[in-house]
Amino acid sequence: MYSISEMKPFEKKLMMGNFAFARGIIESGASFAAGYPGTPSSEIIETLAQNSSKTGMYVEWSINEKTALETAAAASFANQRSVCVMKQNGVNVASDFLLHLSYSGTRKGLILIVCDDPGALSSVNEGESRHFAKMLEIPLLEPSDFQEAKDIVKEAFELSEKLKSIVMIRSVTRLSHASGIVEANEILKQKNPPYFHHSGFILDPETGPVMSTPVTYRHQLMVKRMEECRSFFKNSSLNRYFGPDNPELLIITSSVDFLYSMEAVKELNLEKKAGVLKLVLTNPLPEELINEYFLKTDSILFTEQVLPFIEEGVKNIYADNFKLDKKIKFYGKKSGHIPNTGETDTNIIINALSKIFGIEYSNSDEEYDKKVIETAFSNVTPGREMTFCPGCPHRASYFHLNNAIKLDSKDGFICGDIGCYTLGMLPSGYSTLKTIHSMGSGTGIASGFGVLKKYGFDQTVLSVCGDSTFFHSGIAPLINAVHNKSRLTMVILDNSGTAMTGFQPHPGEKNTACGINGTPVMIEEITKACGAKTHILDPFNYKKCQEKIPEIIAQDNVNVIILRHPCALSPQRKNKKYFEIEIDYEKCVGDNCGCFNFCTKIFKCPALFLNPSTKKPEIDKTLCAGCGFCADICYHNAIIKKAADNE
Amino acid sequence: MNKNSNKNIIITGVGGQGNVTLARLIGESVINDNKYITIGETFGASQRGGSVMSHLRIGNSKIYSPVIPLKKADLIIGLEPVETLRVLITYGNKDIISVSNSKPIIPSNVLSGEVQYPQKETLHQKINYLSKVAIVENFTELGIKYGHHLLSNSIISGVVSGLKIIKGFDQNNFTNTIKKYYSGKTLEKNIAAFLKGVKMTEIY
Repeated sequence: MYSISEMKPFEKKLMMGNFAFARGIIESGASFAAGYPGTPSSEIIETLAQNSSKTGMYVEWSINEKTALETAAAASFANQRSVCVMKQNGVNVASDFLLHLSYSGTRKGLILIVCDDPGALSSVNEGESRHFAKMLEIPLLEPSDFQEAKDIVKEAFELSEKLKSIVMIRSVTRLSHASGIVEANEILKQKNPPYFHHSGFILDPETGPVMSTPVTYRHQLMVKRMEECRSFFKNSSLNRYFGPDNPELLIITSSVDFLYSMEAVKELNLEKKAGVLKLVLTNPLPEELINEYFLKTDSILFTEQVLPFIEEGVKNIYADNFKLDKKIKFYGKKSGHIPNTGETDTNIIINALSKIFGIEYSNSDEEYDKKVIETAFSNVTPGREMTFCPGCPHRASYFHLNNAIKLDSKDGFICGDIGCYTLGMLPSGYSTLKTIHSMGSGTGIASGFGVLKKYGFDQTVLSVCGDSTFFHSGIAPLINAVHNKSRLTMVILDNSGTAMTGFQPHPGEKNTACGINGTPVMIEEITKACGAKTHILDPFNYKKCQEKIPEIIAQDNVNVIILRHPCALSPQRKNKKYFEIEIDYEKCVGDNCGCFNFCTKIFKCPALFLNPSTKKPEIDKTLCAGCGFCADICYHNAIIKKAADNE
Repeated sequence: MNKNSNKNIIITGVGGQGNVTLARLIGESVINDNKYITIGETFGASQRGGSVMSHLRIGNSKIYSPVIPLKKADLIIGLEPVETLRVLITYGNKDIISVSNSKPIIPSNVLSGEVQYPQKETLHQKINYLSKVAIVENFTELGIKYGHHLLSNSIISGVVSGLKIIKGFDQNNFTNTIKKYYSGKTLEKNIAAFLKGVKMTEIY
């Protein structure tokens, strides 16, 4: 456990950005936190949950992001400081409520922390969340380093309470999942008995009902609120400038791009020519401050992650400035100096600055470069695709599903979504996934394919979704499919937890975030109640799965198969083997078998590989998780499994 | 290649090898000896068999980015030899030092027979070719010899400590940090493994 709640004021710790956020939330005296797991955001709620016995904070892993935000809002309405955390695509899910919350306003401080993933390091999109703040007219803060990640939380709560609005904080992977030294402050004690005042005058923000109507009246308040926010930030020390009084080039930046920009300026020795204006408040943009800087420079470079958000905003301010009697040259994503896709880094900014200043930057050594090129072209670094872990139940599940689809010979396919099982699109999942979009969308898409039978469509349609994803957004499309008499098999890959993000509990389990007893809601009870014939199988039961799955997917209705087995890395399985696996080299005839190296080349478990000199398979005992599945698939029974002796 | 005394260290390997923990362990160990420490992690693919890197920057001059720029690493700690080579190609320079485990983890495109995993000797030779000093050993095998294959990372820590590249990364600081993670026999074994690693560097 990372005991950040026990840190004393001024104590310093090497802290991941997400721990810093969590410490900031604790220091602010928040009493309520909710979220849905998603990389790179999960450690915030997780850390708050781990510290909850000490802090007394209520911490919840909610069923999805929208519900998380609704529960957090309720706490604000009941006069509690409250926070909600999610990754970038979570905001899409929560946005419907967020829109109405922007209108209704809040009471005690409410913060939404969103962790974006530029470059999609652990996502299937590089969605940009900042535009939600603009579209929904709420303040947006972007911390640029670890200390600021912690300190900004308190500022955000104060701003939220002043404006009676939710305040959004945007982080990115390189802040949330990077670490630096953070100094702690005092923990604020907030003691407000929770009470929801609702009987006052309809327009009274403190005692009236909380709602988005009357709409135009509320919208006017929102516009005013943003003006107030701008003036609140006019003299804020958070927006800071580093550089000469009148820089040849001004870099306007936010978030980790501030760090990259500072390093790039230093690396090119441009400290006397280029200045860096770091913005923390990025919606609404600090108009007055930016207008002041228009007077100090003739060229501006924007460095930011994903979309040209600040770039477009500053250009708007420039267009509105009638008093400005000069032309400014803008560089950024629009000019092509900063790429429009992927994450930025120091090297990208060094390149942009070199181009603008006409500097030839080189940090290479000719002789070494030659060696590098020679090595790079000698085929010694085979690519390393992601793959299911040794002992992963998903590998076994996809093995069965792929077989069943092939046997069925109707050019069948699987519609998937987000989780470890997304890897089903890669060879390690036998490339069986053919559509991948948002959470739960595999079943929605499958529901659509299935009703096309009216026009003669007869391909076999399957969908997969994880157990946590089922609760998040898999139930509605299943009901849709049943009600509209679609034809599909929904496969729920139930590995007992939100495995990809680190085993956060979901509503199907006994535990809640804080480890107290929750009421488990059984997946099979729901699917049955939805009217889908439900089959529960263990993917490691080779025989039964091979027999049943082809039967089920051939049926002309909506079926659910729950393939249930805990994740190989789950607390109950980690470092415990079911079997010790040996290869009987008397029986294994290697290349002469006729199986085409089925257990290695086809099955592709990282712990079972073909020894190129013996031409026979070998077990890597340091990797093998002892699931025993490889023994079941060997035609010659040459892989032997013996019950393991776990101390 | 660094302008100042700060050290840029990349720990590389395959998801599940303890990469992130090792970076944290080194970072936490030297917190009292260095004003600035950052760690940049890419662990989305962490336990899913992909390449994983931790960027560790340590020193007393201001550090901004938690991500090390290209060609700017001073030390590579490779938990898998192909990954060591991959990082050398991108972040290496003529002064780079590398400490690498020679135990391979076979990628799925090698399992499927699409590409070949390089020969052990070739890998050694290339790692040497791109490093000023290279220590390549089967630390996993050594770990097994001392009680568990996972002790390999503590042996590697010992080697790194023995090379005296990172200010403050000594036995005392290592022990104080690893105490927070392990106790009893496991703690003892890890400290013993660390000392074996230190010993291995006596010839350098």
